[in-house]
Amino acid sequence: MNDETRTPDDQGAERPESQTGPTEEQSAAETGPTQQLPPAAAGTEERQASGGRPKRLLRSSSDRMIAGVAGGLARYFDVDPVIFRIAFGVSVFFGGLGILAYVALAIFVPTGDEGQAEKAAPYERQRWLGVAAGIALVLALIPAVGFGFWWGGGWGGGNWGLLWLAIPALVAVGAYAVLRDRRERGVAFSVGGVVAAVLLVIATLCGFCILAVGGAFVTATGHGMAVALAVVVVALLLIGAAFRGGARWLIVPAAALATGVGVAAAADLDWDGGIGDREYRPAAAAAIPADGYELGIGRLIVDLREIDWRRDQVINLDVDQGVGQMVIGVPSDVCVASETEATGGDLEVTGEQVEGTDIDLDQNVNATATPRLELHGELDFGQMVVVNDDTRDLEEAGGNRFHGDDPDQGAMRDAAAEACAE
Amino acid sequence: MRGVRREVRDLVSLVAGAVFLAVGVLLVLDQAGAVELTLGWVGAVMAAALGAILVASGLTEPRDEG
Repeated sequence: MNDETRTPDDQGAERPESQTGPTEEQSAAETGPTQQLPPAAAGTEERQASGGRPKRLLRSSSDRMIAGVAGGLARYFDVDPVIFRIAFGVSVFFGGLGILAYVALAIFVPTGDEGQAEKAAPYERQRWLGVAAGIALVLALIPAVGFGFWWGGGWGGGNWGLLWLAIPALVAVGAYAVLRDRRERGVAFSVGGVVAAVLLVIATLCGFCILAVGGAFVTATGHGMAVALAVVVVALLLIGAAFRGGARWLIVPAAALATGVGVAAAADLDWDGGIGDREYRPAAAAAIPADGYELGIGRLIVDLREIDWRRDQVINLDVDQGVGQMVIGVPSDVCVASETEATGGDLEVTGEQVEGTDIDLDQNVNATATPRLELHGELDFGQMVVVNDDTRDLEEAGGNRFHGDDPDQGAMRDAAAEACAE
Repeated sequence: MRGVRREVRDLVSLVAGAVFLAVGVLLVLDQAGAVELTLGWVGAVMAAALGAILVASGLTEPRDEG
């Protein structure tokens, strides 16, 4: 029997030390394995049982789901075993590292009981774990914003650094919170309960994303004030509910709407130009619109390689995209003088690359060589790629192919340098 | 006649409400053109808001469901 079957009264974290004493310990010892001790009493008995010896890491023989590793670790660190169970479960998404650790611990750590106290893992530290988790999250996220960690390894299938760590961490923390709440209400621990908790958290995250994207969409269409006021209203409802027992579920829509309108406003999202894929292959400079090309969401391809560039020709091109991928193709012997910027994502211009948030990439802005493309590109979120290659298929440009030591990057840089040389 | 002082029954909801009220006012000011938010600021503000709520949750005694 595990400790999840205890009633709230048995949790003991809220019980004063003065309530513990020899009588309780004695009666607890007499009640057998089906009853649990309050943590404060458990701590006292544990110290007595160990006789002052240092604690040993042992697998639990009583609080176990598989091999007692989580139960043993929980007793050793004086925390809730559910934390370790969820951590091992979430580790499956990291190449099974936690599974290997679990197997190693199951093999090398002996099973043992250090008295009856083993079954009563104290929970005094849970509160401080919550505080520490909150502080750690803030400390982890604030430096990440602005230093590009979120875009760590690339765009389109690459490693997004802390983002991939944050998602399973959020699921794990949320699932733990749900399970802790269930335990406080006296609901017995079970594998089904863990699965239900994880599914509930995933559903909550999905709802959060839908609301956030909806808020961003409404903001991008020019009605951000309404969403911002909705955040204020939900906040006032939260404050009012705090005097009537609380309504913590309102935190999710408040956070989602605030995130959506905040990101859309900060990124100055402009989804004019429609949604979908657009492909333009002008045959002459005159066919390029004076105000350039624009797309809201999707993929924009502008191929200028079919133009018969004169030796002294200079073409101005403005491109503006909200979210998605923008690919521009130019002949390899054309100098590209570019001023490009993005709120977040990846800019790749003639083999040079920069990625992150609030980024810009200017190339050959003072060049006078001809033929020359004067490019002004703006992107809210996504990837902009300028390919100065005569044969590359623009449909396949972008993604990770231009990252790292891709030889095409070097070839494009060399071609750009030669084309822009005076 | 004495006023009735209302008791806060859920500190987490109160802190979350206060935090999102501040965030909401900031967003309203941004939409009104009084301030201009950057992505870095939005990220930092949201992370701080989440952190404040988590800290409040961590410092609050478990609610008595009984």
